[in-house]
Amino acid sequence: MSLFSKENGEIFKGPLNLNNPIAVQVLGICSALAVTSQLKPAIVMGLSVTVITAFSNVIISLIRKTIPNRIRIIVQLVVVAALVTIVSNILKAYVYDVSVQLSVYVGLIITNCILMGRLEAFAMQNGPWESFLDGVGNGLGYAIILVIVGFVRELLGFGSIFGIQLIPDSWYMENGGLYINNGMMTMPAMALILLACVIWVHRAINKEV
Amino acid sequence: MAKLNTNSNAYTIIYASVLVIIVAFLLAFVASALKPTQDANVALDKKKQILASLNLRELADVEGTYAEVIKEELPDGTMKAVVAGEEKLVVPMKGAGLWGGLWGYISVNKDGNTVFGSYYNHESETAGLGARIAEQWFQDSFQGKVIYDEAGKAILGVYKKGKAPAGLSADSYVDAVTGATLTSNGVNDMIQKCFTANKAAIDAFANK
Repeated sequence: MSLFSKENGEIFKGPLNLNNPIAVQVLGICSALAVTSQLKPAIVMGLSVTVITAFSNVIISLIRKTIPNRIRIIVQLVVVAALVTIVSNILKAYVYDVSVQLSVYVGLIITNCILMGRLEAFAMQNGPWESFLDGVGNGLGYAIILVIVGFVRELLGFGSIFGIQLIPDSWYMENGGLYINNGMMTMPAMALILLACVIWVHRAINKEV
Repeated sequence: MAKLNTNSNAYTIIYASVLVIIVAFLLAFVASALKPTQDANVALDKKKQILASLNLRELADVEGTYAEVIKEELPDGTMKAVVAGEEKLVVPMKGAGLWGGLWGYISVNKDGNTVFGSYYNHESETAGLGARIAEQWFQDSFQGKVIYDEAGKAILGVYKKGKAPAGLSADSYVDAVTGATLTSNGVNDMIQKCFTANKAAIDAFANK
């Protein structure tokens, strides 16, 4: 089977749309709520999860035939935890600024349901290359939703994108305008409502989901 | 060769032990190999933070500027600095936010009663909310604020719009971060505790 066969393309594209980990499987929404009040942490978190899902999928897939069935979840957890710790150490040593910005969220990747879900559901049954594609696909599927929610929340909650002010100052109430930032958008609860809207739109477009 | 029974007790225990030992060695190796680089980053970052509280940000040569600006580190932790020919006192602070620790530095003018600049950071406040105390707009809003009232009580604070105590002059508080009331309260408590505790050091610096 060639590396970029149709089947492999489906493995990669599925989680981006019809089998999206957040919008369809509703996994990993805890972190989707916590890091999406602004766009930048949402993107960095999405990329970190993509990298870690991809590599933990590959490692578990490589050793899948040797793992004793009764302790497979523990083995998966050890691999993920080791990977997250190594990534976090490398970030601290070589891109200190980024690691400071991500702070606890890198550690929290260990508990992301998407990771454990993909290891258990996919990497335990499939080869390393397919598992790698599956990991990248699911990580990016997660990142897309985070970016959508982060975009809306930052725009309506702070009037900015990437910290750059988009709503003109003169529109604001305190400067005599009629506009006011929606403080609700900065609260985690609003992420849940936005997420529900994303799922609603997604299902309205894709009737088969 | 007979196929290994991966479900036997002996195999499970040996597998788990070997895996854990490999991972432990790997992590220990990575941690100790990267430790010196990380420590250097932490030390450099601390200097950056202290300089940021003196309104010296985005520097090309942190080490050089630090050596030039910071003149003396006093035993109580405060630092004497000279910026543009004027003496400043940098006061370190520690406090508690919503999820974890907060820390920061405030530099005080020679009059011993107004803020020259400030810097705050946090261990684990929520990104986009409490974490915004680490952004420059919030830190810059402290510039020129009055720290003590006439009786010498530390009054500089962080309050929500319209929630400042009655009678407190606008010169003595800054607006809290939207959506981060508990983190802002943490900054408020940290500042007041620190300026109460360091009153003697600041008075000595101002020759009061």
